[in-house]
Amino acid sequence: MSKTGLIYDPDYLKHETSYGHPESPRRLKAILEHLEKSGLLSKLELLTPRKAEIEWLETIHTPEYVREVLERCLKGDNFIHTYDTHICSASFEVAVLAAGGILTAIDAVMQEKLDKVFCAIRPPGHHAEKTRAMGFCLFNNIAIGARYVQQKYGLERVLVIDWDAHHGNGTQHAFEADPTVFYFSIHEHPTFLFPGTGRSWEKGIDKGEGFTINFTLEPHAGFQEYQQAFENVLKPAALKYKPQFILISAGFDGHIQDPLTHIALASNHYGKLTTMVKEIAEECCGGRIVSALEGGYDLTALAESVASHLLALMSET
Amino acid sequence: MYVKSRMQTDLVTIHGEDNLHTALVLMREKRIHQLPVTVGKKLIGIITDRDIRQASSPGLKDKKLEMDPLLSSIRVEEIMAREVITVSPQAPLEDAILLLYLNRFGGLPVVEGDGELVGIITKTDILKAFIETLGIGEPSSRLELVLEDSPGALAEVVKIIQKYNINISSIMSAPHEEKNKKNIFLRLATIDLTSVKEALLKAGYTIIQP
Repeated sequence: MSKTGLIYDPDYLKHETSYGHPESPRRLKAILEHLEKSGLLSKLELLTPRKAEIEWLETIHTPEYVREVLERCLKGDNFIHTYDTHICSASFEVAVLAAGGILTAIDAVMQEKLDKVFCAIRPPGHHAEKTRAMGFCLFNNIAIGARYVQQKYGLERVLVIDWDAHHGNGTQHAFEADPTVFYFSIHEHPTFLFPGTGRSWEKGIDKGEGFTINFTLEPHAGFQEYQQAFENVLKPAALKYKPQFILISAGFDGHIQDPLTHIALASNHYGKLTTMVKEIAEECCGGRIVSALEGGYDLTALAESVASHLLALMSET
Repeated sequence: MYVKSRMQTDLVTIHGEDNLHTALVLMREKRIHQLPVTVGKKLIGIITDRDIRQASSPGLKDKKLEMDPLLSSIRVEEIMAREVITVSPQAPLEDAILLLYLNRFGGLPVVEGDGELVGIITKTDILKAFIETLGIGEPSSRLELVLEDSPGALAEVVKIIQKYNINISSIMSAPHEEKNKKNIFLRLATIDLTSVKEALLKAGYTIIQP
């Protein structure tokens, strides 16, 4: 078994959304319960996340935006920017701890304490823009992680793989003009799914042209489409790019049971996707992978999919 | 929406006494297919790349057109169209859309008062307006419904959406194959349509699932 870690903190449950909201604390409870019951939890190295220092948030977001999130949480607002993105008084602190989870994970991998880490964090991040919260996301955890691993460890090429069923608009916009972060997103076609961006001809701009790939899926696409995209598009691009670190925006809302999307993956397919990413990581960057939870809203499907992802991360082959 | 708010005012024009070679080079440089012909600010005609093509020596390839000596000897005013279909800046955008569509034009000069050229509106400007109207690129989710084509049908839907505190980014209706029905396309400013979809289904609405 390769040494695999899990970032989790009960404080992640303190970001409360209103009754019936799909991005609820129950998501993480379901994941943890399933990992415990299936015996996986005891095989994982449990890591306690730190709070992200504000300077790291500000590598992606403006200081004004960071302050706005803080102030609106303290003020008692129950949403920010759009009505679907709920906050409570604790949300700022939890969001900072979510971003910090990735930083802790990156440290563990870069200091060779662990090979791979999955971060069971919330709120999610990939929709969060420089100055705007949206799609349940406050701070762009994965984007902050990419900047962190570059600036703290001097890495020049980071690959972000985003397999959440929604396009990670925030992550794309953070790096679209920057060749030092390669962004690959596979998602349901923007006409049919939020946020409505990430069309296949969006390939990066200026110096970043060619370092963004958007692979769009028709509604009801399944594993075959993912497999082909990973084998024929992601893999050759990644091997050519030779990333020194791989980050995964791991949303599990492409599951057929998921209420928000129209994609048809099964739980075990997430393990298969993970194995394909591992092959790239082994070849390019000594197997270094940190993945972080994004979406996934059917509790059973989410828990099973995360387990499949973790099993594949831990497996020797 | 009026022509004035959608037209381009950064105009490329030509004079009647200029020759066709000059006109062609200008069009190619600016990547446009037509030039309004003016005296001062007054519009007196229009010339298209097709007009120039037809006036050139026969048998020349498009790429070689700029080398055609014949073009230097013909003045713009000799072949330009003098009866120009124009639109007023105060006209509703629908007028421009219809004129472009019915005449198969790529663009229309926008003219005010005594024939003063104040802008041009092209198919691309119309597409841009359409993109914005559709809410393409706005963070939102799409909802497609089939409604009875009757007063108040849409209002009921909007009321349900309002209950869920969701902003409507765009709304469009199109003919349905059954005459007494309409297709309604909404873009809603949320990532999560599940509750509102459930409520609409419960109220008996037909949702077109992707």
